[in-house]
Amino acid sequence: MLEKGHVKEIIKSPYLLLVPALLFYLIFWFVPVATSLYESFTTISGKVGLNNFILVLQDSLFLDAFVNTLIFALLSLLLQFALALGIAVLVNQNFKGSKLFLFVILIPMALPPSAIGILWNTGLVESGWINSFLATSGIQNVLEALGILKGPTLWKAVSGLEAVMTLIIIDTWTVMPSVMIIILAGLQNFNEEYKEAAQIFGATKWQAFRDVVIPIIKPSIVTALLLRLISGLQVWLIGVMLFGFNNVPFLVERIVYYTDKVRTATNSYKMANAYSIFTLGHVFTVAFLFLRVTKDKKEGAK
Amino acid sequence: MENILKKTILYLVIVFISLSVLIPLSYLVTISFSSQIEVNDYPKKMLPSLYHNIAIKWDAENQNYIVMRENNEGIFKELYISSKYDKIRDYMKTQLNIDMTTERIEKDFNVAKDTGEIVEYKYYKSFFNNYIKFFTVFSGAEKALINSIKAALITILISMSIGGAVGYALARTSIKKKEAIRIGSLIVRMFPMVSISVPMAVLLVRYGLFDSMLGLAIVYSIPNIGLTAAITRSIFIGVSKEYEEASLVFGATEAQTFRKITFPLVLPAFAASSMYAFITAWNDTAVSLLLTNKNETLALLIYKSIGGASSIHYAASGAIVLILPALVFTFLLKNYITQMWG
Amino acid sequence: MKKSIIVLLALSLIMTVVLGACGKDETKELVILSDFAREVAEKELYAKEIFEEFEKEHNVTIKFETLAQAEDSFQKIDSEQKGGNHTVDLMISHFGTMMDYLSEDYIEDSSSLEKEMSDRTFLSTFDGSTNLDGKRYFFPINSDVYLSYANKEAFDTLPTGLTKEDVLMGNYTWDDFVAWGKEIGGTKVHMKAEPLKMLLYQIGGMALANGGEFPVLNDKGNLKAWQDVITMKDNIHPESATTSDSATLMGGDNVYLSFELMAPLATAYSASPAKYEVFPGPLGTSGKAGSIIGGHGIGIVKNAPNKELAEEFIKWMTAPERIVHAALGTIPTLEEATLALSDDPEDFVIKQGLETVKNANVEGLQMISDYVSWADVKENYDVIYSGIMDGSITLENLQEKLDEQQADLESNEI
Repeated sequence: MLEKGHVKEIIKSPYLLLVPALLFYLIFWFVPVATSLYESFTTISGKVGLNNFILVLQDSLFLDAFVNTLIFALLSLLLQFALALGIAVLVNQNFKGSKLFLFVILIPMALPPSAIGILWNTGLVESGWINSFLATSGIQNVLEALGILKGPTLWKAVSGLEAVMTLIIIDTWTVMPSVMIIILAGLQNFNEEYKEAAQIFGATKWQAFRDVVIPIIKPSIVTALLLRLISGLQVWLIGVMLFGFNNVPFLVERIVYYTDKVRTATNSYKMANAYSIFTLGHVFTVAFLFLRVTKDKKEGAK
Repeated sequence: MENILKKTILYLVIVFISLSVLIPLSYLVTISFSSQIEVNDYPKKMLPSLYHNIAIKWDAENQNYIVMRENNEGIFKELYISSKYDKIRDYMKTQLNIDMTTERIEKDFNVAKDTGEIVEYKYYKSFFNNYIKFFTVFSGAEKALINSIKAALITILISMSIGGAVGYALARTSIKKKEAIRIGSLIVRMFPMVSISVPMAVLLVRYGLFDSMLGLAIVYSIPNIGLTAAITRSIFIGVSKEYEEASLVFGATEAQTFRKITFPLVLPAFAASSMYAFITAWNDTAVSLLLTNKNETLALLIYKSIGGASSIHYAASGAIVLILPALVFTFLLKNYITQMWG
Repeated sequence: MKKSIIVLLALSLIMTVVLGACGKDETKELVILSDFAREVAEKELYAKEIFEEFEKEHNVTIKFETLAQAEDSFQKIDSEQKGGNHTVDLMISHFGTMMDYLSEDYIEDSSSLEKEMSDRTFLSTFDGSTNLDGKRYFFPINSDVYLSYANKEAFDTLPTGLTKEDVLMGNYTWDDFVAWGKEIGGTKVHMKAEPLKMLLYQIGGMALANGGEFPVLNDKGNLKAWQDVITMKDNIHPESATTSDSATLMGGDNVYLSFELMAPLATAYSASPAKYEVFPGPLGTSGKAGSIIGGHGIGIVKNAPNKELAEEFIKWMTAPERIVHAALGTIPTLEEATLALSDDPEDFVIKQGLETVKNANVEGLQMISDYVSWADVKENYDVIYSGIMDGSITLENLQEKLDEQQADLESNEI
């Protein structure tokens, strides 16, 4: 029998806040993931071991996929962070029309993936809207006069690193607002008086921003970047929509490739699962390193 | 003087950023109003055109009409050759989005035949053709719209309540192993969803959640709970604890403090993460494809209607239909993200 | 303000629940999942010419769904069969993907239905894809071959010794085709080179014209086909590598010349018929043209909710007068229907296709079941193509590289 005080203690226990989430994931998430984990460590003949991972390492596109994924995640993170922080600070200035500006900036985030595919597929082709815009606005003529361009540019006829860069820019256009709103939400909690106080004590605007604003919104920044990093390491759809399978390999693109495209091949199911676990490990490592680097000591003390 | 310069630069930056978002979008909108022929035009127009300039020539030798259209470079190009008026009508309708009666075509085209000269007409497009067709060929859009709203709202509710609780616990309570819990809540996101969506769908069918919006919302919540936890945690940490303490000192209960003080402070965080939740639910087709039958979502309906079609003008109009409600949601929400306080 | 948004959210939630609950309809629904007729205009045509009357006669609504990729369709059927929630009645699949469904036993055996339809003769060319172990699973509804088409302006730059009349009659060789591409200049030739899509069929057609086999990479006929690709390498449009269909590139005047499947060809042609000429594919060293034959068929999904109705529908759709519409400008797969073609320009392309079937070296896709993974076979072709385009495969080392891929291809055989 539990005593009354005991019950009250359990009800007030902060761990109770975690129970719904735990139950939810146990019921709806754990079984498929455990299956995938099990599949990745057993071969088709039922042997337990690392054979599937060796197959992954031998995949001719593995190295490309690995490198492309890393480059994509890191560079897009840098670019998106710089832009998102700048724009969040800009919106936070509360100038005339700032809410409308915020709305405009948020639009790309609301676009469904199919729309992103249509938009950039029709943009990047030879007679697409990017070349149309350059031609009708006269920019094309200027660039041709300067000798930078010669005739319409074939944006889609790129491969390797150039293709990854193209995808980074498109991805930034699409998801930058999702980084921005988290930082902006953090900025909203920041009391302007702090900054003013710092400025009264002689700090320049930049110093006040660096030493007062940034530390306070740091948890938001870390969260935003972490989430973006995790998503960035799982990029595949935009790459496949614009360049098709195999042209610009990514880790998760490989998973889809082995589950959907070469479904019937020997080992393909095992390969897909091994790739999944590999991706999980990869994302985990990078995220863990990221958290280490950005760790805030004061926060730990709270 | 310096101030004016600064303001000018500020607004120039703002205009530049806005244009880099709006120009691609305006092309997307234009494509959604285009006819098949215009899709292939070069250079493309940034704004939708309302009409075509059509020229008609009578080829007396072969007894045929030659239909020409002025392209965006101002040159008339031959498109179609026929002597039958109903064939010409069908062609104009399907390829140029011009809706005309056979009688009108006969009357107009006969001028070319009688005079033996090239005659030019300005024919207005049936402007909303792609959109109208979209709704006539595929029924059930209203129901699908309601389903989508339902799925999105339930997703928001689930992720907010379950994820918000975790976020609060991580930021404000004295539980142990916070870092492990935090990473644990993110591992869910770290595992590529594409690789488990099929087994997960099969699992949900077994739980009896097939063809219900609740079932969909549960799947959508899987990545979003962890995400909401992360976002709300960071904001709860950012919110100064002193306000809450002051409120408690003045005799408010914990519940009152949460409702009156803490909640309004973290509202931007909830707004930001509900944005994520909404968009996950709204734009998904992969999960709803496997988990629904009669109760389709709008995104799925559009996907099933134009899936695989190479006619991008219809695909674009479908995408625009899908974007509009999402924009309304974004528009409503933006005020809560920039909710200035103090 | 804050309160109002919460109230608003709550209200809309209640409203949606209420509205959702009352909007239930009771008419029977026949669900068709299709990898064919994906274009909006094609769906309109299906609705008007095939569905409308059937719906009236049987008091049923037909739900016709298409998904972006054949893989999505398979996934949908796969999850329905595994999860036990059956909604799709009929599946329209490409010959190349039928084996996926048959090997998982997802399609009903319709042999008895075939006996009932004794009034019609399905072309037997596709039995290798539609039938398994002597039983009928899918009924073919259309077939598709490769033809050539060109922008009329391309005829201003024909290579010396070649006349327009010869080309339109099909009196020209692959060497002429390559030389023509060179003569037009720039990158005005399209190849169906998007990875994992159609490249092998296009090369296969070229090789068949040279007396080669399919799917084989390193025999004489195939070697010649690949040599032709190397010779015209600089004239192939770079976007070929990401765009399987030529219709958009042709429509935008980015390319002028293409050896293309009838379905995308018909799309481009019907948009501006005055702009193009359609003619048979080039002749190979065998003295004949060559083409792989593709196409689609319809079958009843296992445990379909409306099996009898589905059978009625197959009878309805494959009736000679309707299968012409169902084929959408490609070749209808009933002998009775091909005999009834008219002299209309719409039927002109179909007749060109029929001529190809009769006179050219053609090959169906019945060999797909001999391979563990057909996508792997596609990849063998993709590897050679991308090697050629990046310059690592040249006329000198071509044979060696083809032998390598051939060995890989053979290791994939069952």
